[in-house]
This record gives sequence, structure tokens and C-alpha cells, in this order.
Amino acid sequence: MSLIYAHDGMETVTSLARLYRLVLGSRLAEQRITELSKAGEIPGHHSGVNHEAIGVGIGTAVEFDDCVQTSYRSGAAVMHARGGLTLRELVLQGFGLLPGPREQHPGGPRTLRSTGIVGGQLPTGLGIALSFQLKRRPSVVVAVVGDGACSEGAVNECMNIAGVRKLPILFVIENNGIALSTLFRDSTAALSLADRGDGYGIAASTVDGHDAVAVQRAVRGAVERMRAGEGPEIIEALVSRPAEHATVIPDVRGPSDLEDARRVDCVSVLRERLLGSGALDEEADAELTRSLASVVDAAVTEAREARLRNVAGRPVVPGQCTDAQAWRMAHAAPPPPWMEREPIERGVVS
Amino acid sequence: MSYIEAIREAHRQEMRRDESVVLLGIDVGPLGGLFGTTKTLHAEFGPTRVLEFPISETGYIGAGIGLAIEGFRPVIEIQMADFVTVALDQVMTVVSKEYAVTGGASSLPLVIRLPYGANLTGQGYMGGAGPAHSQSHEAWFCHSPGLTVVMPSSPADALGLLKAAVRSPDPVIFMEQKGLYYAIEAEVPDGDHVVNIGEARVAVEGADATIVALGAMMHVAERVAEILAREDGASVEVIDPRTLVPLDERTILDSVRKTGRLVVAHEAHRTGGFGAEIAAIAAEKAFGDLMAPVLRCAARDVAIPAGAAALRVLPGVADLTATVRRVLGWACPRPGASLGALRRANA
Repeated sequence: MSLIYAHDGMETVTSLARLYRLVLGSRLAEQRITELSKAGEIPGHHSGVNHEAIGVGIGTAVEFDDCVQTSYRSGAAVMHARGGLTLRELVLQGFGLLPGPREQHPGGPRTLRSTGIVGGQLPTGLGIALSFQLKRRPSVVVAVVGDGACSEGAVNECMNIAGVRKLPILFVIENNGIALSTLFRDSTAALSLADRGDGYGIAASTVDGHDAVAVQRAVRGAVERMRAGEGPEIIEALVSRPAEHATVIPDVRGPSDLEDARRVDCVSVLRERLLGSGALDEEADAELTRSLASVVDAAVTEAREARLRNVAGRPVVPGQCTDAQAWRMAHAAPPPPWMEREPIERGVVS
Repeated sequence: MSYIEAIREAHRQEMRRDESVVLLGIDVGPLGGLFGTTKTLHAEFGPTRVLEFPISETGYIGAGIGLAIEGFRPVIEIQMADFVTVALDQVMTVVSKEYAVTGGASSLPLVIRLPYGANLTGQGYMGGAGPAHSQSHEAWFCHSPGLTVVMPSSPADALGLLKAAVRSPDPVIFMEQKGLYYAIEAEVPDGDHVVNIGEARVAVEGADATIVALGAMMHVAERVAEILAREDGASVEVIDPRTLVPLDERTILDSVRKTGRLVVAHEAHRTGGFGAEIAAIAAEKAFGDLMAPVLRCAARDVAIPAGAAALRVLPGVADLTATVRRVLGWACPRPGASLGALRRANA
């Protein structure tokens, strides 16, 4: 396969054309997974459509030893962070066939999962940043949260601690204007989340989250300053969510809010810029789209076959595991000996 | 050595032995913690090993998680166990589940120390510290698979179990009873004293009834065993489980099979407390050996009052003595016995 995303050596992704390819690839994967989810083939999916530019901007601005911590909508960041997933793996992960990013990089943080409690992943990223500081390593953490999570206490605590300890952690807030069904204006009286930086003594800025180039530039600048020991930063990336929160939940926004949310598309932003400058023509664009789509198609085919194999290999009625087996799934230490020896209760009269 | 000195000594020994061991908490620096548990550690190990945080339990438990992923072995002091309630997402969603949800790829070798409970004697600093500073939440953590839960009652076990907790590959909830800090003093073994996680201790041997007592209730149970020996001529076995998860079921069940009578004592509220779990294990695995119902002696189901009124709610020597007498006096059904007579006898 000619398109390799995450593992393309240490070459820095700079050109607009390459950024476009990354954003477009992410879009095709996101779109496909979202469609398959809507069709019922994959369980509910939190679509990252129109959030790809933020992920690509982050993923192409960090180095291998840095840590990227995602929210559930930032598959693109997982993919493009150095040491993260390939496009194929992103699709397989959508099918639940690949272990999460952490298991693929045992022993190092690289990319950190979110937990399913919004904002609850952030303290782990804070700890990684603290470890970098204590070990005097030049690495940084880029942690992504949404505007909804910014109403959570965990986010406040982390930003405050990061400010006090000058930790190398960049908080990227994906402000897409809506938290599940609650509009930003109904959850936050302030007009800007970047303004919160003042309250924590942290430098903060706002960037157009539809523009991968702008995100990449902003993240790269923050990362450089953090490596120089200048402490944490906040970047509020303004973006929009064109569709529902998750494929199984209806979107209750009115027509005008939806229209606003669909006005700007992050793939079109880069495409039009490239077409306008003459760096790309319609034919080359179509060819690029076809080749990326074929990678996604191949991954979907692979995922379907793997899933069939998995189902075929599974007993029809899976029995409950023993207590000792359950213990081993939950603990690194072995189960106590009695749990192994005596799975059946004494005193049962037959 | 006092209970609190034993905990401090465990920190000192483990931090000297392994430089990846770090202490996280609030006021754990020059002050040495609210109760003085970590005194001298900041002076000896400095601010890169003893890390002070703002009042942010979620933030610094989470920081401990990140540090553990990066190869540190954090010991996290929560100032009082009650304060962990604001950070339960970190403990229950992240800490306990990390090993399982990463398919075993990642484990979190960290310790969360929870100074819990009230002072049962009603004396000393913690006598009746009120509803938000006196709670015993051990059952919550036992109900979140992936955590190891230990609960030492003596200085030797506090030292040995904390050292074992630091060395465990799994996250350990360390329940330390803050009323015991300065109240008890006992010898501790010299050298590298490590108490194996998952091993109960038979503190008093007996033949007529078994008391399983958690944490500070051990000291109550030992007094009750003396009283019953003196006044009733009864021989009561007292077991300190020391670890709740994984529970040493063998030791408890062996005792129940010997005595046929079981009372579980804890400072936590009765409903949903860990005593219910122990009672259920006895019912499931030693039903045929029981000669009396398993009874619980626990705090009443109401917030712990401030001041001396706490003793109206918490279980004490009189309550536990009465509870054990009840199982000792229980009349057992024998072939041909009249059910009506039995009911009257046990009423």
C-alpha cells in the first residue's frame, strides 16, 4: 500500500498537499465508519466528521516521544500522531478489531485513550506531563477535550495544576458549539473558552479548527514554547459538528443552527485553497480520493472477514468464566490460591 | 512503634529502596500531612519525590495515574478518606479498569491511602469529627473490580501492608484508621517486614464463635473476646482479614467450620457494608456448618454525628458483646425439635 500515514519516518509533514491528503483520508474513514454504524453494521459511533483538521493539525505537529491524548471524537489525532494508527488501523478500530492505541504501544504513553467520562481522561495526561518534567525529558503532552467537558471539574483542576507547576501540556479544546444536545450558549455564559487561560495563568489562543494549517501552526508554536520550558497553553479550536452526537442519537437542533454547523467543511477549506493556487486540479483530486477510498475499502473488507472469522471461532453459548479467570482479566497480580483450588462451594448436598 | 509511625516508616523504607516511589498529596510537604503521617519525608526526599498539589483530588489522583504509566510508583495520600468522594471517577473509571480495558497491556502500580473512620474511644483528635470527616467507605472500592483493598489494624500490619502495596503491580486502596494513628503502639518486626496481601490473621484462637473484625474494630473485638471469656466462659476466635480484596476466604471459612457461629464487625454503615459480603460467603460456602445466623455489628444507617454523639451510632464494646452473645445463645434445630419452642428460644 502506497499511503502510509503514521509511520512515515521522521520526515515532517509540511506541505499543504500532504495535509490535505491526511485530512481527506481521515474524512473518508470517518464517513465510512459513520455510514456503517448508521446501517447497523457497527454499534453506535461518535462521528469525528469535520473535526479531522484538528486531529491532523495536532498529529503532524508532535514528535514520536510526545503524548497525544484524545477525546472520543478525535480519531484523526490518534491516527496522525507519530507512533499512532494507520488509516487501515483506524478503520479496523472502528470495527472493534484492534486494541486501543495504548496496547499497541506498551510501555509508553504515545497516544492515550479517553475513558468515556468527558474530561476524565485529562488528569492522566497531566500525570504524563508531570513525569516528563520530573524526568527532565523534552517531550510534551497534547490533550484534547470538547467544549462540553470544559464544564467538568476535572478540566478545571488539571488546568490549574498545570499552570501552578508549569507542566508541558497543551490543552486543545475542540469547541464545536454543542455538547450532545446542549448548545454552547446554554452551558457556558462566557463567549470564549480561551479566556479561561487568564484564570489559570496559562497562555491561551483561539484558532480556526476547520483549517488544518492554522491548527498545525498554532500547535507547533505551543509545543516549541513548552519544550523551552514556558509552561502549559490552551488552544481553543473553533469548529462545528455537522451531524448528530452519535449515530444512535437524533440531532434536535433547529434548521438555522444546523445550517450554521454545516457552513464550513474542513476538507473543502484545504481543497479550495489547493485548487485556487493551482497546486491541485479536479482530476488529481478525484484520483487522490479514489486511491484513499480504496485503502478504506480494503480495510472494511479485511474487518468484515476478520469479524466473520471471530464469530465462527466463538462457541455458540459462551459459558461464564471462573472467578480466577475473571481475576486474571482485572489484575496484574495472580489470584489467591483458594480461588483456583475451590471454584465449587463445599457443603452442596447432591 | 505507633500506627502513624509505622505508616511513615513504610514510606521512608520504600522511598529509600526504590527511587521511582513518589508521594503525592495536599499539605504533605513541610507540614508532613494534616495528621503528621508524612513528617520528615519532604526534608529527606525533597520536592521531586514529595509532590504537593492544590486541593484537587481528581487532579492529583489523575497525576498519579499518568506517573504510574510512565514508570513511577506513586503513593497518593488523600487527606481524609471522605475527600476521595470528589475523585471517584478517577478511582473507579480509570484506576480500577486500566488493566482490564487495556487487555493487560497496562497496569497501574499505585497506592491510594485513605485515612478513614472515627475514634471509637471518643478521645483524641478525631473524636467525633462529624458526618463528612468520619466515614468508612471500604465497601465501595471492593465493588470496583481491579482494585486491591487492604485495611491494617496494627502498626506491624500497617508497615508490612503498605510496603507490600507499594510493590504490588496492581492499584491498592490502603484503608488506614485515623483514630488509631496515635492511639495504639506495638512492636514491629525489624528489617524488611512485608505482609503478604490476601492473608488474614487469626488474632485470638477460639472454639465457640468467630468474630471477623475490620480495621479499628479489631481492638474492640479483642476486648470483647476477653470479656466473654471472663464473664461467659466462652472461647471466641477473632480474625483480622487485613486484606478485603482479595479476601482470605480460607481462613475465615476454616474458622466458621470450627465454631459454627460468625459475627462480622465493621465501623462502616451496616447496609451494603463489607460485612454483608462476608456473611454471604459464609452462607454460600459454609451453610451446613452454621449453627446460628450470621450477624453484623456495624454503624447504624445514619450520618456519623459530631462529638460524643458519634458513639450512639458507631459500634462499640457493648454492642459487639451483645451481638456475639446472641449467636452463642442461639438454639439449633435438632431432629424432632419443636419449631415453636425454637422460635420462642431465639426470639
